[in-house]
Amino acid sequence: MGKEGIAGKSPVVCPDATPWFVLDSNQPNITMSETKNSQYLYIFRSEQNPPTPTPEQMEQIMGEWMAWIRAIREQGRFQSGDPLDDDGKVLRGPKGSTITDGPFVEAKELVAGYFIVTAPDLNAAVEMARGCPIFQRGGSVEVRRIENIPG
Amino acid sequence: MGALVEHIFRRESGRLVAILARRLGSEHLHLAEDAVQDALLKAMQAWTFHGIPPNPTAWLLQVARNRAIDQTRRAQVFRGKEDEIVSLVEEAAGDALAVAPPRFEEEIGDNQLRMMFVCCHPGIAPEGKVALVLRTLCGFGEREIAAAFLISEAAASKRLVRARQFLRETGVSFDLPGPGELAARVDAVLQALYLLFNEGYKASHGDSLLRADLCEQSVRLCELLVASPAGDRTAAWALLALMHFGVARLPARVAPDGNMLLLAEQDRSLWDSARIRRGVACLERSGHGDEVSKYHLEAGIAFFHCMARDFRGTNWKEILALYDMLVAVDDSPVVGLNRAVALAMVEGPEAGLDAITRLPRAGALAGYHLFHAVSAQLQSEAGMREAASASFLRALELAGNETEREFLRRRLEALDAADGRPDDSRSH
Repeated sequence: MGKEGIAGKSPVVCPDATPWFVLDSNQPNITMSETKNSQYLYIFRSEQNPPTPTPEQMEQIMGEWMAWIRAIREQGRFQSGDPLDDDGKVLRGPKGSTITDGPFVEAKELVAGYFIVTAPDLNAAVEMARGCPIFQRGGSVEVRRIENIPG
Repeated sequence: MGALVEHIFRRESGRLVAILARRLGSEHLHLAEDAVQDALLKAMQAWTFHGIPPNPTAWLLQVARNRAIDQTRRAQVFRGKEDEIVSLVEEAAGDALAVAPPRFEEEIGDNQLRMMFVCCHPGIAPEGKVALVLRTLCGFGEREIAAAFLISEAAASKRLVRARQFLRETGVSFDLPGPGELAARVDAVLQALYLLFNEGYKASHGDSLLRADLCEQSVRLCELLVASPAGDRTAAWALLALMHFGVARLPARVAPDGNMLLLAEQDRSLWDSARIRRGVACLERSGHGDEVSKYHLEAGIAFFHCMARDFRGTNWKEILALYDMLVAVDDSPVVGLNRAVALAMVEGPEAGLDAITRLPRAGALAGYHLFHAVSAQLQSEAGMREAASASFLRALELAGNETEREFLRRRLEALDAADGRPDDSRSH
C-alpha cells in the first residue's frame, strides 16, 4: 500500500473483491437473464449512542460483517458500500439556509452506512438483507430499488 | 491487506494507549484511552469494507493522534500547555511512523514497559493495579475485567476509576524508576503479574478461554519485563518459569466434559512439552544470583510436577522441601494447606491431617472450600469415612461455582461408592 493508504481514506479495495464493472447489469453488452437484475440500496441504521463495545467485541462485530459481505460477494451481488461518519449537517429551507448538525436530530437511529447490491427483485434483495449482523444489535436495514431511467 | 490477527483490536488497544499516554502524561490517561477507543471504532467500520491495512498500528495511531490532538485543544485541563502537549503527541506519532518495523516494535515494547511501571505504582491498590494492567496494556473492557475477577461490572469500573484518579492526582512519571526505587517497583510489577496469572490459572473459573487468555497476557508482559534491563532480575525469570510451567499444564486440567480433574487424573500427554522446556530455560536464568524469591520456590514446585512421568512418580520429597522453604517466607494458611498435601504424599494422610490442625491462622480457612476439600480427601485416605463425608459436604456448601460443586459431588460419590453403595457414574 502506498503512503496515502495509512490515512485510511484511500479507496483500498480488497483483493478478493469482484471488480464492480463485472456486476454492472446496465452494461448493454451483457446478455443473460442476469441483466434483469436491478440495483438495490441497503441503508443501515443503528441505535444512536449505543454502549461502546470492548475491543474484543469490536473484533467480533467486524468479523460478522466481513463474513456477511463475503457471502454477498461470492454470489457476485456486491457492488459498493461505505460506512458513514457520525458527524454531518442537514440543510433545509430556502437555499439551504437552515443548517442543523446531523440528520439525526429527531430520529432515534442514525444512518451508519450503505451498500449497493444487485438482485433479481425486491424479495430477493430483502432475503439477502436478512443475514445482516446489524439485527443482533437492534439496528435496521432499509431496502430500496435504485431506479435506472434509461437516458 | 493484513490478515485478521486474533485479538487484533485488543492488542492494538494495549499498544496505542501506552504510546499516547506516555506523551499525554499519566494524569491524562483517560484522554489516551478515549482517543484509542474512537480510533478502534473507526477501524471497525473502515476495515470491514476495505480490509485490514498492512500496518494496523500505524493506521490506528494516525487516527488516534488526530483525536487526541482535537481533545487536547478542546479540553480545559491543560491550562495553557495545550500546544506543548499537541507537539508531543504529534512527535510521538511521527517518530513511531518514521521508524522501520523492528525499531517500531522496540519503541512499543518500551512504551508498554513504562506503562506497566505506571500501572503498578505503590499508590494503587493491588486489585486496581491488575485491573489497570488489563485495561490499558491488554485492551480488556470493563465487562471482561469483571468476568475475569468474577465481580460485577460496577465493581470493576470502580477499581479502574480509583486507579485513574490516583494517576490524575499524582501524575506518575513514565520515566523508569531510579536505582534506589527500582527493586521495589519491579517487585510490585511482579506481584501484579503474579495475581493476573493466578486469576487465569485458577481451575475453579468457569470460562476456560478467558482463563487461557489471562495466562497468555501475563506471560507476554512478563517476557517484556525480563527482556528489559530494568526488569532483568532473577525473581522475574522465576515468575516467568512458573507461568510457563502452569500454561503447559492448562490443557490437561479440565476433562472434555468441562469437569475439573485432579492432578492424579490428568492425561500428562496433553502437557505442552515445548512450554515446559521454555520454563526450564527461564528457571536456569533465575538461578544466576543469590536471591531466592517465593517465585523461585513456586517455580521449583511446578518444575517437579512437570518432570514427573506420572502422579506416583512425582518427587514429593523435593516438593515438600520447597514447601518448607515457602512456608518460611510466606506464612499464609493457603500455602500451609498445600504443604500439608505434600507432607501427606511423603509421610501419609495422618501426617497431612496433623499438619492441617496445626496451621497458623487456620480460622481464616474455615470459610475456604478447598480447606474442607483437602481435609476430606486426606480423611478418606486415612479411612475416616464419616469425617470425610462431613468435610465434603461442608466444602460443597462453600464452593463458589458450579464447576467446583460438580467436582466435589464426584468426590463425594466416589467416597460413597467405596462405602459399598451403587455408583452409576462409573458404569460407562
